[in-house]
Amino acid sequence: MNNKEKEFLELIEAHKGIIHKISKMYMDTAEDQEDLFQEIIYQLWKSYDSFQQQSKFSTWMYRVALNTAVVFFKKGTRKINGSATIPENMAMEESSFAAKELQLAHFYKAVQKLERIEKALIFYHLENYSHREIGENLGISEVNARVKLSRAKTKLKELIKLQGYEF
Amino acid sequence: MNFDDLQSAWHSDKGNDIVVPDSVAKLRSAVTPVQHIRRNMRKEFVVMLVIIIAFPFFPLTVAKGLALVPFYAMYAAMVILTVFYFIKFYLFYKRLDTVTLNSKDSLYEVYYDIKLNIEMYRSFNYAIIPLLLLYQVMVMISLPSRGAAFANRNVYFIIIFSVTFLVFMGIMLVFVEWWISYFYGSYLKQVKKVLDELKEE
Repeated sequence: MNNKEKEFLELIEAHKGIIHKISKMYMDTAEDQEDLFQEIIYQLWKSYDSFQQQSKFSTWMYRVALNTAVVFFKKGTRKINGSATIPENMAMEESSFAAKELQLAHFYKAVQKLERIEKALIFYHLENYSHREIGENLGISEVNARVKLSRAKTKLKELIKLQGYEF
Repeated sequence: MNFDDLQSAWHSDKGNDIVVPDSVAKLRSAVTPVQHIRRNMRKEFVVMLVIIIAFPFFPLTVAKGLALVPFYAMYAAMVILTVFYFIKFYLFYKRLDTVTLNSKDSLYEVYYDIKLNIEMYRSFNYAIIPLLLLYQVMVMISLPSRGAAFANRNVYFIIIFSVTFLVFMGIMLVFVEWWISYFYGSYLKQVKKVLDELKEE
């Protein structure tokens, strides 16, 4: 393994959580999530030369990862079947950890029903990007980013409420 | 829950149990539209290569007695056409790497590259199909009985022959359009749908 590959894999190891989260937002089954996870790393490696330390690795990585995810289509024509499940025993748990797990489970289930760009908007919002930065990364105006994000948040909220979870 | 809670839960999920492949060679690329197109193009290239290699032996084996000069002249035209288009396809194949642009630009690049490739693919087929059918004609008229019918200007035979030629041509072109829409058009529609989501409001 050469130095470039070693350095790349170290960066991926440090950011694997975020790649996995993007995969979970865009795909609803473990198999598809794994495929997307690998595809993102593959695309990052392929375009690694274009990352010339000009920006933060995470900023560059988010862009490549989301661009890969928005044009990633499942094998065959299976429809989303809502296979993301909510752990039942967690509903009774009081601990902060369990509460967060439950919130994320509801979030991942609901987010499957959003459109691809809406998912990207929600992702950037959760990563604390401003409207201007979201617009820059998606290639749309700041105003458009604000309008679309607001709509996506409302939609997500409604979807989580439909699951019987207060939002 | 509100968005602040969700954000806090989001950041607390570090994904420590996720396993990253220990070498890039172990990564497997999957099913982006572009990958599908590349895979299809690779397969079609292999098929075309087999045809090109096998074709020159045709008059020496299956259709002995064929007029060699027109046959090889048409073969040369077919090779030139194929080489020209496959160089274009190869350049397209090498070019498709736009993931580092912003999402809108990246999607537009992918969309127009696929569209351009479909048009090239269509024009390649529209150029090669008549050539292949002409080969068929050449083989048929070189058969002694059919050749005599042409030489004697047997109108009935020539009409039947022309209609069959046109019908075959029509069937081949309909097939090409179906093939394009089935293997390539669906990806174009999927990418277009995502692009439409980015429109200004």
